[in-house]
Amino acid sequence: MEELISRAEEAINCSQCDTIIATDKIFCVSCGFPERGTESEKSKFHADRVLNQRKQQFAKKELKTGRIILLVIAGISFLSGLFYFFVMDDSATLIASGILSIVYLALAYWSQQKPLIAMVLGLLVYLTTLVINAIVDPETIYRGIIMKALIIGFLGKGINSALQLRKNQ
Amino acid sequence: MEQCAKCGAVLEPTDVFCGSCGSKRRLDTSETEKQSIRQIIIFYIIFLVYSIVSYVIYLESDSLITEIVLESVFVLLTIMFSLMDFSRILKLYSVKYINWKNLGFSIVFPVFTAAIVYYGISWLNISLMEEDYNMFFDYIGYENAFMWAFIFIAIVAPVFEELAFRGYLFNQLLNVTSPRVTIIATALIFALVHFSFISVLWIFPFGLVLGYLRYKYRTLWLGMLVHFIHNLLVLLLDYYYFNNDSLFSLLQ
Repeated sequence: MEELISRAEEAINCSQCDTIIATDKIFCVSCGFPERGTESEKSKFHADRVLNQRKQQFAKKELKTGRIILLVIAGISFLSGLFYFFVMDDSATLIASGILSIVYLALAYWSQQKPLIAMVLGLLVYLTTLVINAIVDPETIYRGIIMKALIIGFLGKGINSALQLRKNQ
Repeated sequence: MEQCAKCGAVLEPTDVFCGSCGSKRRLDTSETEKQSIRQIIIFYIIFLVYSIVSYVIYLESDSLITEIVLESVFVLLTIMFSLMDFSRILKLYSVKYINWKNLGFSIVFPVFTAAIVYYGISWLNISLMEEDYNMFFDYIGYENAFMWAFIFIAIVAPVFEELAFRGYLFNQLLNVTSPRVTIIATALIFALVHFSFISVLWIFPFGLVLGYLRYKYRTLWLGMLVHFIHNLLVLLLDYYYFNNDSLFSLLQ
């Protein structure tokens, strides 16, 4: 059907993605290239595309950082669990930290398929640990506060990037 | 026929861009997604703040009035959030898909979970911390202790936790992701809010079943029933052991 029309109306193919463009159309319906537009419109399309690609790459990079952060907190919580076990002989904390680091590891792995949800859950789990620690020992609120802010910031950026990547899909 | 939101030209179903003006077809999902993610995070942070505040208040005073006020705040917060998604949540109170089979499951299942969890926790607590926790013990200071424990543990918790997690949170997550992921994510968040990482071991699977029931039968009633029977049995066991345990009777 599409081919019939194109032959009759002498439609052209998009120079960017080879989609057939009907005679009454200025833009390609599949990639948005202004095939029958002005030169400046065309160069704007290319500029936008490059900008978008860079944004996309940046988002991917930030997402990767988020994943690394999840792995790092998994490691930290496991090590602190070991510390409590060997130094203070506290097996309950070891088990809790072990479960926590498994949760982080699972989220880091999951973030490859479901980046958005994994990052959101990672942030929520982390916030919960901060609150639990604060309840157990209020002094922990100020300990390593810059580090905590950084972790929250990176996870937040990860969520943003995941949203961005979905938008451009 | 769908039209371009910007110039009004007719769009084919497969078009990604409008051929006349070049604007991208409006996919309004991304805005809803952003909104839902924001709401999930805000909901959770408000809950965390509520937990800290109520913890501090309990340190100061643990009277019945404090308990009632704090529980009411939790109930009000849940209702407030649910009102933002009122029409979709109201549908979840339908009984259309409830039948004898899933009703029977919802009655039998919590009997098993209550038994496993109750004796599992006791064993874990005793072997790890050398002491056991009795839920009923928190209420003995009040007059009509059992009645208040029953109201808060067996009624308020199932009704409003189901509304908050399987209702509001579930709907927001469904806006963003697939049902399967939603069930897993709500179960994890549900486990997190119990503030004990060891309890993730049993609350997470419990939450998975509740989420599955909510999704499959599109109702909150089954989840509330499971949750109610589970909490009630655990409370009854605590009540029983409280009255029969030699250590506790010494305290009395």
